[in-house]
Amino acid sequence: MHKIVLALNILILWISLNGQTDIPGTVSTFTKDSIQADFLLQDAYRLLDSMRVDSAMNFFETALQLANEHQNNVLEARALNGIGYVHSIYLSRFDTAQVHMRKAYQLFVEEEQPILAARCLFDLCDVLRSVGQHKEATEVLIESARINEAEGLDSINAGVYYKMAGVFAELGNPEQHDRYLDTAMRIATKYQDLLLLAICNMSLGLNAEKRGQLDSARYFSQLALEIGLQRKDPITIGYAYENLGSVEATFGNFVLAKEYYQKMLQVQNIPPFDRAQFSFFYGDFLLQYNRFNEAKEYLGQALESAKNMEAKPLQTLVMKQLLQLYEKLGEYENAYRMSNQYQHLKDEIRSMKLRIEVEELNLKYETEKKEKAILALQAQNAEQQFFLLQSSAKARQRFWWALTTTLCLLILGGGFYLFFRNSQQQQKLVEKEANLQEQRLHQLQQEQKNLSLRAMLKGEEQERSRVARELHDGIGIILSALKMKLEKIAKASKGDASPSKLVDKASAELRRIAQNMMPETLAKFGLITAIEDLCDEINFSKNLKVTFEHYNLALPLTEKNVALQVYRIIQELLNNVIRHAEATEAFVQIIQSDRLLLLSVEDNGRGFDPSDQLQSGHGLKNINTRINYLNGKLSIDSVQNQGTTTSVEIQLNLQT
Amino acid sequence: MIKLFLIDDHPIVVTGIQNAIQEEEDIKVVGTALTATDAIRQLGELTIDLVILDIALPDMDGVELCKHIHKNFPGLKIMVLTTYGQVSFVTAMLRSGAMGYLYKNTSESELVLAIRKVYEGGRYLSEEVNQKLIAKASRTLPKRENFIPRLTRREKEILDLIVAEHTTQEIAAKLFLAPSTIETHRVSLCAKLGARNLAGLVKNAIKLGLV
Repeated sequence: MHKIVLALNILILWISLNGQTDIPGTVSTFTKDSIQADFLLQDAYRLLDSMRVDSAMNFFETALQLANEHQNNVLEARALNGIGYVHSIYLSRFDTAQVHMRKAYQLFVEEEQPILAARCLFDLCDVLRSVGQHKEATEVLIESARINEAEGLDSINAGVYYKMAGVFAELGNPEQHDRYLDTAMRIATKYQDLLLLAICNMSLGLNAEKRGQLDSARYFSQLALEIGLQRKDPITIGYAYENLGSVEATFGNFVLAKEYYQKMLQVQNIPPFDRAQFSFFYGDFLLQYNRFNEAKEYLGQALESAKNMEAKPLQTLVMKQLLQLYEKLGEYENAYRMSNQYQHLKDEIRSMKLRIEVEELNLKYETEKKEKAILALQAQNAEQQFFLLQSSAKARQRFWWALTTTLCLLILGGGFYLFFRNSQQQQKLVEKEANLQEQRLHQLQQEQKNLSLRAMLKGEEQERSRVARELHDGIGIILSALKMKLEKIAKASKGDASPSKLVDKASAELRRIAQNMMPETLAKFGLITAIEDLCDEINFSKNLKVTFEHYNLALPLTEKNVALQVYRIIQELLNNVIRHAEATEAFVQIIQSDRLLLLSVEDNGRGFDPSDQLQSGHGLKNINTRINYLNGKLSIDSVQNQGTTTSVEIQLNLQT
Repeated sequence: MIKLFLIDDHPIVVTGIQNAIQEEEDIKVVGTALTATDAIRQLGELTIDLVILDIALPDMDGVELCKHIHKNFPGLKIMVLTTYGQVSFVTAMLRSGAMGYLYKNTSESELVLAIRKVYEGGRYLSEEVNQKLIAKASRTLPKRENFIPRLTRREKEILDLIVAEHTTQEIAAKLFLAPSTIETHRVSLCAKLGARNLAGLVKNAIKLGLV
């Protein structure tokens, strides 16, 4: 499903291609050469229409040269856009494409050509998607739609929204996908944009296919194929065949499906990226029908081309299928290698580029908002203080004046007294206001501190979970394999069995480290079980007997973050006991009393002098960060040679 | 013939299992799946005696998958082969119908032994799992009625002073602590001893023999 949506979205490029010639050159001063360049550009797009890519490229480059000679920035930008476009769509050289398009966009903005700038962003979106930068792709599309709207070019936005829908489908957000697709279709209907309608319908057809509505799925795909054939549009034709093939395959008509797929492969003048996709589609289809050897050939081709083009999303899709294929063929070494590559690439694309960036951006934005509010308040405060100073100086003057006058003219004294009192009241009001401002400033500063603490703690958790997963999936698995091999060797040669015992030790240690990094049980079974597990693990592997007791502990499900922080605090405290206390016993307790949460970890170790900064500061930095974040309070009771009790008091902000 | 079905998203594990049983003529792998979804689909189509599964799967939680298999394929024996060592996972899997629990660093001979044992209707837990369960069982808290809470040193000290009828202020002065700290300890003592006020605290402390 995913892959077809991706494919469909490539189709939209074709529309933009057809529309490109309609955009008038907005050149104001026509010299003979610049008119010529303008023609060159238009011709270049026509050449692309008939798939004469090399000549088109030539035209674009000549136009660029002419534009440079006459220092016509708009023409230069259009030529650059064109060159970028060819690199993106026909040559699949995304880096070059991006450089050209960004430069073109810059020039369009400088020359105040909003329509051309919007189109340039529209083209840029595909480059970004092809290299897996979905966040940036969304950003450029939103900007493009905004410009078109401002310029009253709603009809163009049908394509923009359709593409937006595609990006969200790739991001796994079906609600947004449906919303944007709906908007796109409404605009396309309004402006009688047949091809776009057909493509939108193909999307609908795929949804129908997913729901098992074979007839509508066929109908929509057939419609797309007809439009493609009518317009002699190879890309539309190719994807329509693929769509039909996929429908038939889903419903088990192997022979018919294969015919469609072969027709898809026979379509001429297909750009390399789509060619690679087609190979992948066919390979995937063959894999589903257990034609392993044929599948291997086509998937191999697809992977090779995808790698050459650095089209990472496609690469992961192909790898995933190849992984399955190798496994089914029993080529486990290949499968293992592929699995590693796949995991690596997937991690690279997903976790790094997408999640973290989007979340960080959001947090950054929130922190920034707080910062702005603080700055505004500070400015206001300064103003207020200035006013305060002034008014108290004024008040002093008034007072002396009133005093002298009262002495001289006692009769009028009463009136002046009232005036003085009034001004005093005014000053009190001002002071009160200033206090309030001070409080708000403090509160905002606290909130900002919390936000950045949260960002830090969150980043740390993400990193830990990534490392834990890599330990489990990477080294853990290799160790298991190593152990099996070692045993085999030992058995065959009746040799020493101790190496495999060492591997056992390594595995156990690795398991313990991974668990420490990512308490899987916390999310799954809750805080109590997670801490029980933690204590069990220590009891099992260390020379320390840990007891855990809890009273009235009932953290609401919404307090997941508090639970995680409490878990981490206890984990760190126990680590400190293990590392420094030389204790034989430890006792962990958690008590909840309404909104008060009390944690204590007590040991019977050597104890230390809590006033000794160096000693008590040891290992507490991390805990303090977390306690600060929870607005908690830490206290340490320690008696030399008797042991230490560390207690944490947290006031919960439960929403009731 | 013991027909095995393997569910693990790491192909190398599958290879390992296949190597381990290659000399056993009566054990055969009849199918494998990298995901839970694929596994569920295939399980309906094949004849299988024993399923070996991991807890960490890409598309579904192993505990859920285990429950699903246990419910929908009642005759099937289930064995866990995983890197997860937490006792809570062991108990969760055993409660969900698993009859065996092994770590991935198990030896080939132990794996074969476990397969046979579970196939015959028995249970098999690897030595380390066993040790952990035993350690856990021997430490599990007694029933709530005769449960005596364990007090920290400070709590004991403060409880003694409360029972000796000292006020919060006096206790604070005596122990060189802030009155608010004493209050906090009083709250935790009340929670631990199941008391609502000072009188109840003293009564329960004497009843439980804590002073």
